[in-house]
Amino acid sequence: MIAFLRRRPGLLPLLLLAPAIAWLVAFYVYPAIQMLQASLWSGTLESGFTFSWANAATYSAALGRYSDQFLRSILYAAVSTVVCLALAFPLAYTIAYRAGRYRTLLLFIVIAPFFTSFLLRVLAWKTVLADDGFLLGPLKTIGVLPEEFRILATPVAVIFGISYNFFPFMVLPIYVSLEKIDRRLVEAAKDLYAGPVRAFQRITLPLALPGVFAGSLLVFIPAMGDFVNAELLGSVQTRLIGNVIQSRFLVNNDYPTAAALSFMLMAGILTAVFIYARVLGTDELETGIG
Amino acid sequence: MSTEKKSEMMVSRRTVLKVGAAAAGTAAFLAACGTSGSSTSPSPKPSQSDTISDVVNVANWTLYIDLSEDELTRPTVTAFETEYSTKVNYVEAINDNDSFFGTIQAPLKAGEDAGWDIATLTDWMAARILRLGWAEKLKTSHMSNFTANLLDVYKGRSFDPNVEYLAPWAGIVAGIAANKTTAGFVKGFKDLFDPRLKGKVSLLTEMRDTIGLAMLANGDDPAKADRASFDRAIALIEPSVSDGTVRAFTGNDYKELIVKGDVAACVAWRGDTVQIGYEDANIVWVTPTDGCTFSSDNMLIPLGAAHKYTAEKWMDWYYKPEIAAQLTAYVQYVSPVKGTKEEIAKLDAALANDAFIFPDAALEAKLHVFAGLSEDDEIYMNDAFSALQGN
Amino acid sequence: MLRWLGRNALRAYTGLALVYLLLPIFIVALFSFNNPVGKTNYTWVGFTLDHWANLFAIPGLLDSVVISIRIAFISTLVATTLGTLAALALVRYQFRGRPATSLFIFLPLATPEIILGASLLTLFVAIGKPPFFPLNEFTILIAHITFNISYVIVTVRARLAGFDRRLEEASADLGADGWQTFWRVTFPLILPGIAAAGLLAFSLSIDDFVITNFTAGRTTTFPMFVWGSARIGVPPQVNAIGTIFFVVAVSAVAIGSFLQRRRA
Repeated sequence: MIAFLRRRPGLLPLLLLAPAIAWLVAFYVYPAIQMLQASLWSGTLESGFTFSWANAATYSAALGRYSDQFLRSILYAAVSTVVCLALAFPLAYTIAYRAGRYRTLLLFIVIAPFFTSFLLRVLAWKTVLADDGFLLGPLKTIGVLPEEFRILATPVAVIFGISYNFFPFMVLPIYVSLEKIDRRLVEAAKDLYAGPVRAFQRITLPLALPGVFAGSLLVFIPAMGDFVNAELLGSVQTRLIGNVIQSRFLVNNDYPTAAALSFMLMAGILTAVFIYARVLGTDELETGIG
Repeated sequence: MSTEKKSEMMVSRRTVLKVGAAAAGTAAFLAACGTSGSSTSPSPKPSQSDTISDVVNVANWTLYIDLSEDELTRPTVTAFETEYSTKVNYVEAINDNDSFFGTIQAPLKAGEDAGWDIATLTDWMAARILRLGWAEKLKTSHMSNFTANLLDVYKGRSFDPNVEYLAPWAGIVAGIAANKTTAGFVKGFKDLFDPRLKGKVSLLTEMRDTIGLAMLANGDDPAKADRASFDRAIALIEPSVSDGTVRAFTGNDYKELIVKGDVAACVAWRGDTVQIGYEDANIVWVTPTDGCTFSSDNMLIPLGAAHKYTAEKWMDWYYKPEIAAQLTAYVQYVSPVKGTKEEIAKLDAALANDAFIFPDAALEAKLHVFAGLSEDDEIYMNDAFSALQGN
Repeated sequence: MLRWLGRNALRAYTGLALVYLLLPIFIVALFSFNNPVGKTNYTWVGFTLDHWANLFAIPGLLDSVVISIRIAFISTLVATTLGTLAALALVRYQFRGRPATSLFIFLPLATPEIILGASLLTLFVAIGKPPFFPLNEFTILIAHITFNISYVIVTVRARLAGFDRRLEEASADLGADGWQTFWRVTFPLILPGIAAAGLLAFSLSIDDFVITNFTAGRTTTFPMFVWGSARIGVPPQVNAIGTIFFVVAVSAVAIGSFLQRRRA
């Protein structure tokens, strides 16, 4: 067998790839095609579904009906990404440059939340942010906050939840980028009379961009599809496209609309990713993240 | 961008197009000969034997079974397990009729075992299951307690006239639960939309209960529900949803909200509310001035269930007055079993006189059932109600 | 002056950030010691160790934990194997269609979980026959392997990229053949990368809720148990299990990095 491979060296990589690719084709591509088919069904569960290309109208109908939720998802995902970025960058900077021997410990604390159940974390925030919980309660008692004030069941809570969940995804790539920067470049800039702020702006920040890019993708993409945070921390007014898809699939059994929405969501995400890649001018997309 | 990078991007764009074209081609091929997903008639299953199986899978709602003092065991379930030497896999899997239906419809449609031997579903959902032919016919010859003790009012219902498929589990009254310290003034459905309660109100995802109460508040009769009265009910609720008075639509999860204080008043089921009241005395039941909605949850055996005989025995078990009394004393719902009142008097005299568990004529006048709907009307109403919830 | 301010501001900020990160974990652990009235575990009532003593008293909890762990193990094994092989191919060999394959591998990572779950559900319903149907542990396993493969490939590839091929050349120079070089030189050196990928896959699998929700049918994994019990109040035992997972994971990572440091 080894001799056979030696004669045809080009075959080895394909053999190595084959199992993984075959799996993904069977359980990622094929289901996607099934869903595409389902999106072109018409009918109901009880009376049966029939396939027809003419049902492409489902897409425009779904887009029109759920445009609010779509836009809201984009907005919340974008805001969460920016919030994450703003919060994570200083932390990543500190860990990369100011942490000294605590570096590993800090990195560890950053990823520590992952080791608890995601749902339990969201529920814990629900307890902390409760209307009369131990955070808001005392503040209300001493009069700093009005009685009707609440964080839960508002957009703030949902964005907070999403940002919290994906915070480590933003910190780590930025940290990796920052850590790779050759310090001598910064020193050189200082030798050329650039102040610390200028050096940061002209040297550090641009070189950290690949990390920012990777981190932003890792936050934006899952945030677009979120429904758990909106369900547990939000209200009727904060319903996201993820909630709609979940509801259409599992509650209303409206498979055509649900499938159409899923495809449109995917298309939206991929478009956003391509545009972002273009703007930043990196080839990160080519080689994938990492 | 450098030409190098540009060509890389172009390569990836070209590749994406190639992949996309391949996918579209496959889709077309599939469309030509793919499954259309129309309902298939289920393949006939060989009759299950009349022996007790090792296990029986029961799906039920939360707060619907009795619990021991330490809340770790369910006495009536344990007694059943001992009596029949079997194991009950009791799962509180049902939070909402529609979502549960979503989980079982796919296998049932394909003529396969849905994985449950007993599912406890509300009237209208049970009716839908029967319409679709997805329930097993009961072999009442070995269900002596059931045949003897079913209350007459449940015989001759339009969707199961000969009592061949459904064994009622409990009757449910929907009304209002309120925290008497923060929402003591709430006496009727419309009071829920009082500005004083802004952001502290929740409604049920159960369309027939929420809309039913709204219809009553509008002076309409849910028993004669049609699109017009439905639209009026939506119009009553909608402004309070948009302005944020209504905080959420819940299944059983209103319990968490009201205990935590995130909600001051909500549409709730009576049995739940009484049980919550034991934990927090501030949470009280309010019978809305315009009336309550009434429905029943029914046990049924999904088609193709693996342990039909044991499931039938389970149904029969809860038609023994002593068992029904034990259950009812805990869950506080209307019992469909004859003789429960006498048995419950032995456990707790006060409960025997509770009008909500054993409705008297005065209360019965306030209980309203929601009309049965055609498939078209049901879709219309479900869609509008989903839209109300932001979905 | 500016620098002093800058330095302390960063320190204060870091402190706040750490509190932010760890607060929920602390709450989870704290409420595992709570002694709630009835089922409402939302407000602190009193301290007790009772629930830790009766960890599996809640019906269904033990089963869900066992199922979660089992699925995580198997899916990690399969995904890590398939993914490592693929990563080796992608990094070390040039072949036509490499960029396309890269893009293809990226797609599952760009797909929101809800779509991955829904599409697999559609597939299993369409197949309609065992073992794919009715939905069960096997279908959950398939779903987990599917999303894990891309993560493994990306992780291993990142580690492989920094691999020094001269070590392999040296081994060949010393007379080792292909197999020997691989097993004695290459594999031990990329093992940390594979281990990291495996750990990632394991934690993704054991904590997955959204995709599992779509493909589980009647099976209950631990995250699904948490979701279900959230409706009436998460019992302290569930918090305890969550805390245990955390402690175990933390210990595993700590031991791993300690061992690594020793070997270096």
